[in-house]
Amino acid sequence: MKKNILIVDDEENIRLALRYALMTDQVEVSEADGGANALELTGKSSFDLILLDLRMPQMDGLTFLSLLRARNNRIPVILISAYTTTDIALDAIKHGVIDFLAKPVTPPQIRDVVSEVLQRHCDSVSDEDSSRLNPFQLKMSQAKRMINHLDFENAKMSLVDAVKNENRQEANLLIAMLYEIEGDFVKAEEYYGSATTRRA
Amino acid sequence: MLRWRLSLGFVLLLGIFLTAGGYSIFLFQSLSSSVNSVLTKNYESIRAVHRLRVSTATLNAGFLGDNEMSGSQKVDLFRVRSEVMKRSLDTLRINASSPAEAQAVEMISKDVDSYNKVISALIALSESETVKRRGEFARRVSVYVLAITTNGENLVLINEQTLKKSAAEARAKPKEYAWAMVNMLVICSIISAFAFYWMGKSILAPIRELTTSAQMIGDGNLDHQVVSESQDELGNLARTFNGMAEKLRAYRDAAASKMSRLNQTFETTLASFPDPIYFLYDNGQVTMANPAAVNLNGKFDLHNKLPIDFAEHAERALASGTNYLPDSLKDAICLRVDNQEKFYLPRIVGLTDNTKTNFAVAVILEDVTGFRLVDDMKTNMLGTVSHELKTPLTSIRLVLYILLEESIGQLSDQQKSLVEAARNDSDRLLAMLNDLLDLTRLESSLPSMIMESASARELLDECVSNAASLIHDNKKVYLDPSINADLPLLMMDRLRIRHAIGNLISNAVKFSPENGKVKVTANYVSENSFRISVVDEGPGIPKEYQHKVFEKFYRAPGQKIQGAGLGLSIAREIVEAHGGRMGLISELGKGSEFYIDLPVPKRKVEKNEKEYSYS
Repeated sequence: MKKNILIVDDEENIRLALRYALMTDQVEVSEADGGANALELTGKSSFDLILLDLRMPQMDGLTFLSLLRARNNRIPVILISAYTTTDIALDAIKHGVIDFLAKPVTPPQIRDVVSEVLQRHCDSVSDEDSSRLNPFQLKMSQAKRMINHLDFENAKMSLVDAVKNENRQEANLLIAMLYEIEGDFVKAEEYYGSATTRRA
Repeated sequence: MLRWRLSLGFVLLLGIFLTAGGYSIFLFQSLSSSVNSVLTKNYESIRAVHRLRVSTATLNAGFLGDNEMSGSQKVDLFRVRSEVMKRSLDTLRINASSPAEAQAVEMISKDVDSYNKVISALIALSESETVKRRGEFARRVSVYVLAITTNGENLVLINEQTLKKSAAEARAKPKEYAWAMVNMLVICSIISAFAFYWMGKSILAPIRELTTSAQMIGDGNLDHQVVSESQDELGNLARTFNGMAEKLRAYRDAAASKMSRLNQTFETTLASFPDPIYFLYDNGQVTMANPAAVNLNGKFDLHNKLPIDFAEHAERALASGTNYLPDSLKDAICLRVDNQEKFYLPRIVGLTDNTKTNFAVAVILEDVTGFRLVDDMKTNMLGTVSHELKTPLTSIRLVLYILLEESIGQLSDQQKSLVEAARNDSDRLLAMLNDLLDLTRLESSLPSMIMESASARELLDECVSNAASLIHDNKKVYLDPSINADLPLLMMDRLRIRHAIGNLISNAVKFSPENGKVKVTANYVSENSFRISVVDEGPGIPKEYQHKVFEKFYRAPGQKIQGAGLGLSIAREIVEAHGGRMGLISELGKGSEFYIDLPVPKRKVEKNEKEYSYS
């Protein structure tokens, strides 16, 4: 079954390059040159995934996201940006967006993330697909799925399980951010701490 | 003059009192004397009548009666009585107050004369004859005695009537006098009222006007004049008063002119300032502002308020009386004016009066947009430019990668090698960009340093071994073997200090000639300062450029080695964030020594026993 992917970026060349990077028989790519256009498209047809540029002149990515989510549209979104701060990440997570691609990206990186997200949000996840993931990846995947549905409580539990399997920065950082969103800054600080020591 | 007027007023009143008093006394006196004289006269007349009758009776008895009086005795008696009778008649004549009375008196007088003639005739007789003619004489006498008695009675009646009339008159007079007194009092009252009005007009009114004038001048209306034409003391007072007001006016005008000049100087100076200047008095409102400030406020539609971003500082300065004089561009506040970002560094100075009370603050907004732009350009350019570069780089790289994947068509070998070359360079470009970004991040995250205790020896060890990757062209980096073994534990953010030292080493390597050496040394400068130096054998840095090498993007003229010119500036910021100092000792042609001085915590560490030597 073909997957419908919407690319939202103001740069025509980026849209073109992304289209070619994603072009397979399994994928149908649509393009929007800005938030307004994208909102129109998402209203007309359904997509499996949106690749969203953060910095756009008319309407930035996060504004588009909040308008999209206000329509109760929970399509998985991958944010593409040249740089991401914790604040931006927190805003994105509040809208259930957990996947980021840092510019500049290579086609394999794009394809990897896109397929991972598509797979995660595919309703009929086959055992074969699941078995390819290790326990950490499985828990992370579950957590991210929960985050997409704004179920932060369960997502956190899932992430804590993931950390038990493998104490990785990625998971710690996510837990910390979820705590920060909740307003529990003590816990957040603690997990930010474990994330940075791991990195150091 | 005033004294005369006052005296005149008093004299007038005194005169009125004296006149009224005198007049009443006079009336009283005249009443009593008139009653008195009437009473006395009538009484005397009545007594005179009585004496006449008594005399006639006595003479009758003496001469006509049967008695033993001798002739001489009778002559004496007659002489006495005729004298009494003559005096009584005189009295009656004098007291006669009417013609009727006078006529009656004359009739009595005739009768008395006739009586006296008869008696005289009798006396001339001899004794015997007297006895014989006694009866005859008695008859003759009785006619006159009767006449005297009748006329005397008549006179008494007349006098009684006069008395009654006088009494009636005396009763009527007081009423008349009372009326006269009332008239007099009315006249006196009118005169007094007039005198009072006149005195009030000439004394009290000028005093009242002076009081009002004094009040007006007290209220600041110095142009007020007292109108007075009188020549008296009050007139003098008014003229003196006007003189005083004039002096005050002159003083005021002089002060005003001085103030106006001062003000003019002040305003002109302020107006010539391109930076907005505000003055806030203790109500927190802008009381004065120079044209630049008025212009700025016009952009925000603010009247007598400071732009909100500065108000907080100003209020604090006003409340506490302390100046706010930031000197770092970081304290500049950004305002959007005419769609442009303007940066203002607020300088807030308290103004105190002669009682040392803080009554206002002057707020000077120094326009540091230019400085900020230069500074921001240096800082933000890294971030912005890197990001702006990343977007096109992304599409370039994606295209090159996709082409090389050959999913949209086969490439010839030549095409492939060209695209590969492009891809490699785009990767290299990305790596450079990322380096720049890393440096920016490092700089912008300086405030969140993680300070920990770290051994200086280990640190240097790490730095020198990391430097191995930098070495090409037979260059050498080594740690000075003569290094003091007793190296301290330092408080530092290891990652960042390592970055700073690494930067010095990589610079030193870059500038070293072939086969050159880079020596890393460490030693105490003083008890609480520890110096790490990186010494190279490069070309050295001319004196005139030495102070500039730590600036962002600075590259000494004629420098052949490539680089963004950021490393030293970041290294210095890191060191300064640690409370340390970075410096340079260099001479043209004799290499350079870059050093980092770091503060040493009080506690010293035990000796590190290992010896280090690299070559």
